[in-house]
Amino acid sequence: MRRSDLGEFEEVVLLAVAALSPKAYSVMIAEELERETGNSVSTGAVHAALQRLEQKGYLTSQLGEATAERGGRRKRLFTVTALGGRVLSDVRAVRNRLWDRIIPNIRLEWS
Amino acid sequence: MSPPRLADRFLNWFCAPHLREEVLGDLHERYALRVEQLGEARARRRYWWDVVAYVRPEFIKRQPDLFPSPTNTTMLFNYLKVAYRNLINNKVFSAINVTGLALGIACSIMLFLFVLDELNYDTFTTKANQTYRLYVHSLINGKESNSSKTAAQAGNVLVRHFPEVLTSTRIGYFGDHDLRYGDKVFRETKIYTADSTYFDVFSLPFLYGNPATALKNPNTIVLTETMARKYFDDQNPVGQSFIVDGKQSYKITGVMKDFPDKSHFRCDFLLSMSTYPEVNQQNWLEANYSTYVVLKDGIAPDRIEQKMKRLILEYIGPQVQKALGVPIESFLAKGNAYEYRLQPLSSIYLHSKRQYAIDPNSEWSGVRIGDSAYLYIFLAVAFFMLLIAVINFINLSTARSESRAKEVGIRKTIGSNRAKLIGQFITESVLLTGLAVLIALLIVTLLLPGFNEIAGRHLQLALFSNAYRIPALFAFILLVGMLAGSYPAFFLSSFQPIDVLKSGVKKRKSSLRSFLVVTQFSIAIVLILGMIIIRSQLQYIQQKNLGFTKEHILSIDNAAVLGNKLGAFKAELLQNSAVLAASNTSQLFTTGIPGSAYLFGNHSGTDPISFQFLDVDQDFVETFGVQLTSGRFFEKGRIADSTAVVINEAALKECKTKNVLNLELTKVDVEDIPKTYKIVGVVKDFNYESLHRGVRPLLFHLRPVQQASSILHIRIRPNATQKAIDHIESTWRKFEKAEQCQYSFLDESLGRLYDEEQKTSLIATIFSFLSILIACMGLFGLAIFVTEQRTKEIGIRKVLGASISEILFLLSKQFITWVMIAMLIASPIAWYAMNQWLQNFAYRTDISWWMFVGAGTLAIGVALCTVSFHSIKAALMNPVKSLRSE
Repeated sequence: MRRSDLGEFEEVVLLAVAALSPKAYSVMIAEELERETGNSVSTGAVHAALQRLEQKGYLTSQLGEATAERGGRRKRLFTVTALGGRVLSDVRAVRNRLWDRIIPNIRLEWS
Repeated sequence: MSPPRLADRFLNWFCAPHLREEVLGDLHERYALRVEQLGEARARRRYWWDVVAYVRPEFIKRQPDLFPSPTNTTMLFNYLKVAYRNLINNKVFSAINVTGLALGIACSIMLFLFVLDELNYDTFTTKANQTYRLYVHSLINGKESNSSKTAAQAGNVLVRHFPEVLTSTRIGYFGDHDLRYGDKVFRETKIYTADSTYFDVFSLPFLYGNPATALKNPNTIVLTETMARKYFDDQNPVGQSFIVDGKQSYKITGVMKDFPDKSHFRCDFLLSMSTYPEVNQQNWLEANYSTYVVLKDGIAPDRIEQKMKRLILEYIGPQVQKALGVPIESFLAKGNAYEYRLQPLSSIYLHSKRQYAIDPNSEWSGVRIGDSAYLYIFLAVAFFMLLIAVINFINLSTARSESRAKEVGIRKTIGSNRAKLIGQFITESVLLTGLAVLIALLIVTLLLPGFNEIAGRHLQLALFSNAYRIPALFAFILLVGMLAGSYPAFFLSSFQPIDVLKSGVKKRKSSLRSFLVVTQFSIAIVLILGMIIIRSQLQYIQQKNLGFTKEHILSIDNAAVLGNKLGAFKAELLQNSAVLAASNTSQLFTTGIPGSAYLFGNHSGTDPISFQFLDVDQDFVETFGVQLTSGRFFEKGRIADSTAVVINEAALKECKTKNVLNLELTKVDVEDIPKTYKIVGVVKDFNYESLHRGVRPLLFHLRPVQQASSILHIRIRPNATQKAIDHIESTWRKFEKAEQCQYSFLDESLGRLYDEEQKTSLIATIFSFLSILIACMGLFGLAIFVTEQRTKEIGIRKVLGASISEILFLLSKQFITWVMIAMLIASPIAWYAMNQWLQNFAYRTDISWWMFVGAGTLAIGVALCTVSFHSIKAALMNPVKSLRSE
């Protein structure tokens, strides 16, 4: 597994796509991330990450419908590929294993 | 309500086109959300930040297009391919086009080389543009004359008085000499004397010896490489001596390379001027030297000229007074002039004749003088030849427009625009021109030796000799290609696709085509007329009655070798019945017949008359068959005849008296007491110079001719030429052992006076035929095209009963009309131009009507032949065949 392939922001974006599927496109993702993190997230950053992920084969995309707010422009909808899904679960598995090795009381002290 | 427009424009500018839709959509959607959440003002601000967030390479980088926009070269290759296919598909047209153009270009390249060659005279010396030749301008008694000969002291005086004049050098001539080295002896006619500064002014490379000191001492001589080889084979002759005329000896101090081909002055030997110290004592009216001066760099010659005028008058004034008996002031007050002027070295060859009007008689025989008029004529011919070829190209390309029309229509439909089509056709014609130039270069390489022979030049193509030649050639190709291609390009590209694709090109009467063909033929006819007139003038000259019998006269050019034995030699010659008469004279029928000022009757010193004079013996009239009009010629046994003169009719007219016999003439002389001569007879005018000029006033002096330049003329009995020659040669051997008798026939030497015209005539003949050939090639192409177009019409006419001759007439009518119109245009132009040319001659042939008829017939004949080749074929064709063709 090529861990270095997936940056932190990319991982979050990939997760967001999986979560928002099948209506995942940059505006929705950016809004979602903003809401979740409280920081401002620009569509440009999200879009760039989406493109990178697509290039790596973790996502596919197709053009979706157009709406009035968009001035009649179509949106690009992203879905997670099988590879993307596997990478996500791999990442999660690694994290879980690491989490599981942390002594439970230490965990308590944080909060 | 809408997001900031400027931000959108900014985004549109940097963002890759394939991403614009989704990016802009996203931005707008989010903006709408923000307006709801945050209000418009904050949304707009945030919008800017969002747009800026897209400035990343991922969004800027353009996607490679699936259908890349074609580059310029793609289309260029297509043009080349189509051009090549067109060339191959229409072999006849292409051949006519390319050969016609190649011929035209070859002609113009050759003529251009010729002109270039003429322009580059006397550029070999390092200070060429600071070097000037002095010449004397005189206006005496209303007669203007410019002489290239100056007084001996002129150069030195200028150097002494004006610091701007750096150096001066003189060339003089003191007659032919016999040079002997060992057992080799030759009579040398090209021995000139020169000052020791000669090689400072003219940088001529030496093989042996030192140019700076070579001509310093008396009796030293420099010879050319060729002469060195003649006497010494390949040895270094410096330090050896020539025995001169059996008396003196000249020490050889240097061997120079032969004079450059493009030097106006050339000789075989240069003798030091200090050999003749008396030269510096000569007075100012004895103008016998050519003087060259070198001015300081950047000095304007007119300033020196102005200052020179005054200075020269100071020197010359007293001597004029002595000679003419009147002060110089009153001489000048009568409107006369006598001044020294400067002529740039580089203008001597080309402009002496026309611009400076320098009397060719005053030039050395070693000086070559060109004629700027021929230069312009040749330039014009070169241009017109090219024009004819270019017109062919234009005509054939537009005539073929029908076959290209479909292509144009389709190209336009597919999306080509007019500019691109023009580009295509220009590319095509530049390509063809390039091909034509290649062929032309080949033709030039092959024909240049022959042309050199005819023109008497040493032209070389030498493409790589000069950094400018190859780029110039490319520029030429581009220029001619554009010129030839421009009209067809504009014409063809103007087609409307809807018209040409639906119904083909409508046949239209091309008035431009008529105009072009008429132009071509006008040029060709002018050239033909020129050729006819030049030829008839030459014939006229050769047949003109010169006032004496030029046939059966043999001239011994080196008779002076015999010295005192000349009289005895002459007497012995006359023993033989094949020899009728013999007379020795000074130089005749060449340039350089001397002249002098004479005073006659009431003419005072302010208006002397200028006469040429000849030194002759008593047998002149008998030998040449010149007629006397009154009085007598010199007679043997009359001692008083040495102070008698005989004049010609032109001189008689100058004297303005009916009866001049026994009147007296005084020869103006500065040195001695003026000599007075009694006029004893008048001879009829005869042409003692070339027919370029009329008979000038002439005087005969009776002199025992022993001077260096004397020639023995021998009248021999017709039909006994060989016998006479044998006799002359055997007699010569009795008197002179070392040197060969050099003789020539007078009529042949007279013919040589018109060498330049003979050459021009030959060149004119060649180029006029070439021009009509090229014009006819174009006509041939047009004829093919026209008959092809009318195949069906001819078939129908034949079916309906037209005869072959009617069809021939129909097909040729247009062409003949063109040539007739061309004839009408060309005739006055040719008449005017050739009249100008004829002004060069004092005796001119008449331009008569038959010349125009001849030229017209020739042009129409040739055109008809060209056209009929195809029209006969078309007329004879079985109508069944021609009607079925589609």
